[in-house]
Amino acid sequence: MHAAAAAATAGIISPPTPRLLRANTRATFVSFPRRSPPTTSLLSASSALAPAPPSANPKYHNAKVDEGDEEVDGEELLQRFRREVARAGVMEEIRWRRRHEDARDKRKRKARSAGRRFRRR
Amino acid sequence: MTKAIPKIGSRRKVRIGLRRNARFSLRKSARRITKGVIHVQASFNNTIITVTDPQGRVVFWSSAGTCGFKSSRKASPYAGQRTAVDAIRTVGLQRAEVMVKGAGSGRDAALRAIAKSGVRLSCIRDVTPMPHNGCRPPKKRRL
Repeated sequence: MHAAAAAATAGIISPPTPRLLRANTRATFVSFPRRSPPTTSLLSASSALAPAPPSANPKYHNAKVDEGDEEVDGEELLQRFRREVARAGVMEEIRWRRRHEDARDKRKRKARSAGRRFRRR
Repeated sequence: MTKAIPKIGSRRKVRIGLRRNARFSLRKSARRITKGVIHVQASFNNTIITVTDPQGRVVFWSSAGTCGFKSSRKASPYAGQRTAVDAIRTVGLQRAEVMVKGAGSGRDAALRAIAKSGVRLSCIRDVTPMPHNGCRPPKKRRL
């Protein structure tokens, strides 16, 4: 369990950020870039992995929040979902994929995101 | 198998009539299911809510335009909220899974309305399509 999570985390951290988002879109585990995984999220990940999702194509999603076994309120589930979306970076990717950007815009976006990440650190 | 054919035929007959009457009749004839999937499609100009059964067959759909909003008001968060409330109240769901697509302004309002409506949510997923470096996006708009 911990070895698999550590291996997944180590595997995810070494590729660059777009690859990380690619990995996150296909896999169902929770990924924590540049941080050690918290225990509560590990518990939520284990509880999320145990029940099989009932939909037709469970693998295709950018961010996902499962109810699991406990009785979760809709508001709390929505807050968790919003946090997962923010962590996966779905909104930022939608925003920059909307219009074509040339090399200068790409450099500018990467510099800005790097500055924001450095500021958050 | 034979049961499905009259339903499709009756729905087709309903659509032949006048548009306003068809909309009214279609709303009344929406199936009431207890378990389903709520698809939220929030584009930058509209918000569409589609309620399906777990197999994916459409039970009811609603959009900001069908709730009476026009042109730029379709993209407002209030339109998204009204659309979600309209769809959920008509079908009468008890347990649902939510699939969200798009990043429009009605997205958060619709999700909040769904969360507050009393429907038990088993799963919320973001299924916005992300190309793996597909075709070239449209150029930047010069304002």
